[in-house]
Amino acid sequence: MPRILVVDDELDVREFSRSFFQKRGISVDMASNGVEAIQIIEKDPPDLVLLDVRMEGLSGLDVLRELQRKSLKINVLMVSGMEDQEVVEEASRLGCMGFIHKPLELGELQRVVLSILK
Amino acid sequence: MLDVYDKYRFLLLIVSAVINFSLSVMVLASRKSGMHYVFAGFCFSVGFWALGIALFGLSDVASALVWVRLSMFAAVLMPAILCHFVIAFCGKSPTRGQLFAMYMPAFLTWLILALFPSWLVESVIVHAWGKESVTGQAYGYVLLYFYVMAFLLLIRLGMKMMRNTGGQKDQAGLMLMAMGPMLLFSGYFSLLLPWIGRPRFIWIGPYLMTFASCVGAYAIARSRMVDIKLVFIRATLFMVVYTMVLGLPYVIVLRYPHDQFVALTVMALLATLGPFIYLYLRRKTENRLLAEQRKYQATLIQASSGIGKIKDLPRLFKMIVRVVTRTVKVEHTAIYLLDKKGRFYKLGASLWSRNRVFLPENIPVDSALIQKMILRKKIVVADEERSMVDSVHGLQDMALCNDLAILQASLVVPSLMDERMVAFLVLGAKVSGKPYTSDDLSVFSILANQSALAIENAMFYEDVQRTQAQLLKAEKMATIGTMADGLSHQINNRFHAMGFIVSDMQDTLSARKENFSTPALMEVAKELDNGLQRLQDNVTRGGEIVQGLLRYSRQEGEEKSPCDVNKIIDSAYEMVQLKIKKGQMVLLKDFDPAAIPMIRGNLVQLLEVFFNLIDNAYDAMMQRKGEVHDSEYKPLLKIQVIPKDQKVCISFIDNGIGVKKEERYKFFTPFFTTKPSSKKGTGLGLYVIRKIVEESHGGSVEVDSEYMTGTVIRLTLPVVSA
Repeated sequence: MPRILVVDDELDVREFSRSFFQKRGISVDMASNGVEAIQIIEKDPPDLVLLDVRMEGLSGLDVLRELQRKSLKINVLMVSGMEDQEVVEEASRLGCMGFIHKPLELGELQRVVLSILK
Repeated sequence: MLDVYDKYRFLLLIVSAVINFSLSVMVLASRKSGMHYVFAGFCFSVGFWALGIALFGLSDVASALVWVRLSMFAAVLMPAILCHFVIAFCGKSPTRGQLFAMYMPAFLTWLILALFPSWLVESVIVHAWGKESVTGQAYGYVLLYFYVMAFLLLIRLGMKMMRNTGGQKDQAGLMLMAMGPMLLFSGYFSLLLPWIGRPRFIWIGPYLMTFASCVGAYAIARSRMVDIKLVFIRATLFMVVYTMVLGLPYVIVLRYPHDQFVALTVMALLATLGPFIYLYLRRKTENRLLAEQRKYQATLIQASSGIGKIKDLPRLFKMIVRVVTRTVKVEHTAIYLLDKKGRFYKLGASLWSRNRVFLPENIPVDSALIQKMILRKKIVVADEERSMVDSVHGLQDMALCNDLAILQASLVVPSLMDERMVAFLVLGAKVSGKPYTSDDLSVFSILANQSALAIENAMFYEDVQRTQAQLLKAEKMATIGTMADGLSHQINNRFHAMGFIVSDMQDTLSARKENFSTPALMEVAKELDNGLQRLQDNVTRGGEIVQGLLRYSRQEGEEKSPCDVNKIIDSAYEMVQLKIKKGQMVLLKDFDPAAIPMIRGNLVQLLEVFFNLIDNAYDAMMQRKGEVHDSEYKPLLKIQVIPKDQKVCISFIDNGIGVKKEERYKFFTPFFTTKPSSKKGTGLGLYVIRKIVEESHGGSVEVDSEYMTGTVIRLTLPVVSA
């Protein structure tokens, strides 16, 4: 069963995205901050990471940088509200696969995630 | 041998003569007008008369006769010239007839004096007490002439006094009081008494006339309205002091002919002290008399320094006007301020003591009064302007007097700041009816100029406050912008979470479909599902609104560079392709790309603008397609680009549904959209477009739309300057 990691500081988002994906046959790990996320990725790398850009403490970009530093190659999809051009560019440089915008169109989210996991 | 005191009397006359000659010179020096010439002539004749009589008294018998006869020349000229002066003083020029009537007898007398002197003065007899001049048979007629003239001019002065008010009245009154008694008495002592055989007082006449000429000279040479009391006091003081100062040494010399050293010392002492004594006495008497005036002058000076503290312009005006009206006790005061554009003076504040005065709101800069003040930079005194009639300076300035009458002004004081008349003060007459003295005028000038400073200060302060308010507002906007940013993200997160929750619920509902077995339950399930779907739509919609808001509040990079319109259109169209299905809309580029110059703009922003416009056009056309079932309908978006002057005009012409007339005014209002709510569209598009095009690029946006026909949106953007 494919596994994804949802990184978001909102409890509701974590819990309900888990519920959403599990109903679709995808297992979900959760991390509420960047540090936790990196720990989980190190220990047991998931098939895809849904990474919120704006978080307290380590931001999404910081996580990406850390992953790059640790040379951890992993699929990352950034979830963002509205970002500057520079953020998008930097994220791409740091190897993320793409951006999806909040609030998510869940049908689309499903499609994108499933296509990546294939 | 003559009595010392006798000699003294005649010495006094020499002093008087000197005074008179100096006066005539001074009067001419102050102003060379017709009236001044005549009065100077009068002073000269008084002086000559004094000299003649003096020398008559001091010299031997033979010369005495000559001198007394010579003195008659002056004596007979005096009334004529004085009459002439009074006519001129009343503001008229004497007619030829009048001149003839006045001077003819004098000239006749001169002829007689020259040819048959004994008809007037027969001889001089020496008595123990002094000399006596024996009058001739024609003397009586001279005397008659003298008194006729005297009465005529007194009547004339009296009439002027009754006909006028205020300063003019005072001046006439002064002249009357000075001239009247003096003329009559001097005539009595020096001309009448000798005639009836009482010649001992012949010396008094010229002395009295000197007093009159002093008063007269003071009044007109100062060319200011003067308080009568003040003039008398000053003239008297002057006469007394200088009689003592100049006369005392002579007495000493005569009394103690051998003690010349003493006399010289005394003379030197008195000459040095003279001015000081005079000024001291003057100040003392005037302080007592002018206590009230000094008081309000002091108050005004005090107020002058205080007004600088008031920063609020209306309050400042009210204060100035109140201070002047209350302390100086005038009928009314008003202050006018120069308008910002400099075309007229606007009434700032006004106050009246008793009767209400209606003052004009605005006074144009080109009015006579304003022009005069700007030119002369001095206070305008209404009485003076009204009495201005002399051959040198021309007639009364009618326009000026008219302006003064409208304002009912006695004084108009300019407030000058760096040679500019920032404001001016209008003062009515004093409630007491007294005229304005020169002291008053100088105090008002001080007050006015301090006011100018205070006014400039207050206006500057106003500007500063306004600028500060603007800055504050800008700061507030910036803060709101920053807040909006953070807040938007928070709200966005809420929608994000909601989306997941709703979706989960929908999943649950569909997963448990079999639990809803009965039709009633199935109905419930359907309703729930519907509701949840609508919720989901709202979540999406909410997110888009926040997106729009974020985009609006964000400060995009403002850098501008040359942009190719054609390329931007293509890029925008590509972006729209991601959304629309190709073939559903036809894009027609109606221009020659080569003919279009590069425009100056921000690529990202322009891309957004074009994207929005094409997107809106697409939506409009789709809406029309959906609402009007017309198989012939072909959605077409035409883009025209026309260069014009230093600008490029880009038109987006669609044949979509258009906008109803009633809703057109809302076009550029944020969040207005005619797109049905189920479709995408937050309505922020045109608002952002206008912001970008007009504010950021300095261009313009025009919209034309007709329901069921289409919409035209015309952008004008600047070309890259060469």
